[in-house]
Amino acid sequence: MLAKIKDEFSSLSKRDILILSALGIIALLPIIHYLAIGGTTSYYLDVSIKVCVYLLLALGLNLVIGYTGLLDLGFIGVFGIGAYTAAIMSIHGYHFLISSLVAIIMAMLFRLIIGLPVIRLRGDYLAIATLGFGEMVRIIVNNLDPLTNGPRGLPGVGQKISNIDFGILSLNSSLEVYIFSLIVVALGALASYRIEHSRIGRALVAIREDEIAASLMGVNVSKLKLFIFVISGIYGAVAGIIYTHHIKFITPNLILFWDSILLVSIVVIGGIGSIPGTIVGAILFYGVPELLRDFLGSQLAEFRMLTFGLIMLLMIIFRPQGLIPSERRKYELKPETEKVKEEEDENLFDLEKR
Amino acid sequence: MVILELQGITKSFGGVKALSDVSFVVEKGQVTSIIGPNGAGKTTLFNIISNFYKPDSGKIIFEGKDITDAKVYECAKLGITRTFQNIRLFYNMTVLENVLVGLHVKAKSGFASFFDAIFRTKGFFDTEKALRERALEVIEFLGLEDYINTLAKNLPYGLQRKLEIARALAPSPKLLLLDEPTAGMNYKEVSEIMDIILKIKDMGITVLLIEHQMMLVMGISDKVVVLDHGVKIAEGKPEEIKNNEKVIDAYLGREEAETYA
Ligand SMILES: Nc1ncnc2c1ncn2[C@@H]1O[C@H](COP(=O)(O)OP(=O)(O)OP(=O)(O)O)[C@@H](O)[C@H]1O
Ligand SMILES: [Mg+2]
Repeated sequence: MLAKIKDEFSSLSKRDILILSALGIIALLPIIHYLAIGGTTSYYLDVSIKVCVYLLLALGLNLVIGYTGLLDLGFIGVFGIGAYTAAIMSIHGYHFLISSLVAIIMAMLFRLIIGLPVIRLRGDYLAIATLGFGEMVRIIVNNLDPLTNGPRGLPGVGQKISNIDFGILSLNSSLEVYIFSLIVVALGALASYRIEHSRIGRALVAIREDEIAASLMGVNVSKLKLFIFVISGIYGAVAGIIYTHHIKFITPNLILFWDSILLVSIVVIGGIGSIPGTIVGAILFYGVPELLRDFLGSQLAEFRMLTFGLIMLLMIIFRPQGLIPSERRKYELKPETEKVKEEEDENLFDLEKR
Repeated sequence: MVILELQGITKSFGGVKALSDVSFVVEKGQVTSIIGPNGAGKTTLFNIISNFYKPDSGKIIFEGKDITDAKVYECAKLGITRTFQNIRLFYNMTVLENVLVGLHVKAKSGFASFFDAIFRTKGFFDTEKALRERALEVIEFLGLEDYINTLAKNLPYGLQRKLEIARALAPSPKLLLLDEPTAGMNYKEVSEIMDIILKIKDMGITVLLIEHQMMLVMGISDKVVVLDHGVKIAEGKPEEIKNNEKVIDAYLGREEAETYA
């Protein structure tokens, strides 16, 4: 077993390979469609980029809610900080790379500052406090007129937000931005996976499971919570940066409480603590409704909340572990203990069974 | 040599005085047991030694250092780990992962470990390998090797108790606190735990034990401390305690009476 330690960390289960291949194919669809129609409209690409933005947000939130068990209801706030910082910097003529760096630093600082007082709170109190800070961002952005142009949004008259631009390479089309977004999402998922399967990841899950036992085993609970709270801010900021530089227009409506709830639903319904679950959740709960809007008109958007409630209810009844539960949680439902080997064999073909 | 010294520990919860001026020493390498009726303050004493509670007055001296003001999470690093009267495992983690969390203090910490994890450096694999080796050693020692990838919540009760011991033993503590490790176990399991504790002692680890099973206490303790209503009423070798009038009145007598009732 020890000889295989590297394999253990780098090899994926059959289930994950299956999911990854499926996701790879789904990711290609908008590109194929775009090329097939001869590049006349990029509607599906644009929706797909937004899905990537949501994916990044969901992956970041999964670190906090999924691994660590902190119910953060204001995550959209950090998205706002990232998006607005990037927009303001860009409008003032800073290069994409500089403005992105500042946006990430601002987002991390924001998470650190709200994290310090909030992180020691338990359960419901933490949820309410984070909710408050999320709303606070929207209100500040709404009222900080000289910098944010208030409810009218950015850019203002005569201002301009630049393209995503790496100096040697500038992304000028939706296709390029989409491919870039896919790469960022893949890197984000990989980093998240590596955090999960490490000493820090184990400690985070231990905190979720039993804070007291974790601290008595030497885990510095507050420090680690704050750490992951800040790290998750990077995901939020990058999502905001991509959004701003692609859509090129942002308003305070970017930072709605409803979106925080949508993100929490994605993480929880997708399968708490599970990366594939989070990805599938984002596609189903953000991408699909967004596409359906095309066919069903704006009515669907209004029924979204209702549909969500219904899905939540059904999930709680029929699949409380989430759509694609994390590998760990999957075993929960087994009635009794089993020998290791049997478990491994089981593992291979349990996708359709569960 | 004294490894742990309690000096006049007092602790109240509202009106309840859980501990009044309790002092005693624990000798390095020995098994010291704390006995006493329900509500005597035994678990409270553990909570104070592991810095989960702060005493109202008194001091805890560990290896000559005053650790009364240490943080909870610093205890494991100092070399004090414990189990809980009401099992507290990481239920949705596997047996291996539970023990690996027990080894948390044995690996590089802080930003360096994050960097190693993200970039999967050689250091990361080396550390993980070493941690696993140690974890497996402890898992085998407690006879859990058939359950490495089983979730803690799916273990039978007796094995959950053993997993708690494994997790606490993993970082090779200097002082191991066991709070009623045989609670709810049958005779066979109790004698297994007895063997395990003796082996732990042989490893050079000092054990402080809370127990109601007299067979176990009298069989393996080098020293017994008796608490009653938060007060230390006796302290000494097992034979001395067995014949101590006060102890018989407060505790042993009562238990006998229960047996014949
Ligand atoms: N956190 C707390 N808050 C209030 N009272 C407490 C607390 N912890 C312990 N006590 C009280 O302190 C007294 C001692 O409790 P403790 O759990 O230490 O007893 P014990 O000797 O471990 O008993 P048992 O054999 O039942 O485990 C009890 O009266 C208990 O109710
Ligand atoms: Mg107790």
